[in-house]
Amino acid sequence: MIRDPLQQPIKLVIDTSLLVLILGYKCMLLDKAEPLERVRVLNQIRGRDGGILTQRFDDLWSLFWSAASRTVTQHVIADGLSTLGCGDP
Amino acid sequence: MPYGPNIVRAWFDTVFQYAFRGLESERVFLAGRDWTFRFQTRALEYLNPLAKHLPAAARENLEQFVSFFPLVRPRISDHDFCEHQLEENCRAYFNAILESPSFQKIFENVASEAPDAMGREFRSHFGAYTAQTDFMGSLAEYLINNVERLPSYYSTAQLWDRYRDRFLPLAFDPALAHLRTATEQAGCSMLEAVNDLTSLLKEKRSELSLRFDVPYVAELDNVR
Repeated sequence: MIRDPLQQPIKLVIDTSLLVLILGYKCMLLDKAEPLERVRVLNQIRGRDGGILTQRFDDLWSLFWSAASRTVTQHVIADGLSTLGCGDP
Repeated sequence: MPYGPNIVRAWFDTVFQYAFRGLESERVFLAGRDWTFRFQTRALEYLNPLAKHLPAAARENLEQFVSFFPLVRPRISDHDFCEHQLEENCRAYFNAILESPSFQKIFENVASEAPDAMGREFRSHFGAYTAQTDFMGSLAEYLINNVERLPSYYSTAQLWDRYRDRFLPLAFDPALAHLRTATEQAGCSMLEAVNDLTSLLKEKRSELSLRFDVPYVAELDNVR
């Protein structure tokens, strides 16, 4: 396979707010939640009003999986788990 | 009056908040002629009956609200009926696309040309999907939802952006044109129903707010 030389691999650096959304998205998929329920829960996780388009959560998920590499620091993981109420790591 | 500020507060927080958010989301999709049809489920992902936009526990509050405002029920029914019609039309259009000899021929030509033209296996454009029926389903889904360009992080983006114009003329294929038109009209009808329902709910919310001195939003911490 020949890689398109113009296509740069995506490298993602994820902060806490994105990590918890990605974890939430995965949980909703595993729970086989209906799409609208998934959007409701993700909006709650996001914890802010501001009229984010429903599609943006799907876009974030696709972006995450399309990345060639993803960087999440230990501090962000700990912060994210704490945000989700998973206790001390 | 059998209800008061407490009940009105509950309606605002558990019914109106979610209903308006859901209806606004639907409005954006419908205005963009994206019906959110998904080939795996043969259903509309983000266009749904109004009650489904509310958390399950809040649906009884919706029923209570409607019991006191019976004029709202027909508008909700219109909205839900339009959603159902649009879903049925999308399904019929989708099935016709898959069975269309023209679509199959275009698909085969693209599948044959793309590896050399794009330097990668055809199946690699479809992410986790491995079956040809899924490849065809994905492309038919884009046609139905009037997808133009895809963001670059979608695995099918390059393929769709390059070959979209080969598939678009299918909309005018004699076997498909009437189904496409029916789908577009159903989408327009649903958009109208969304706007009508939104207007009516806003009107009722305003009346209740002023009559019972209940603000739309009590505290920002309680609102997501």
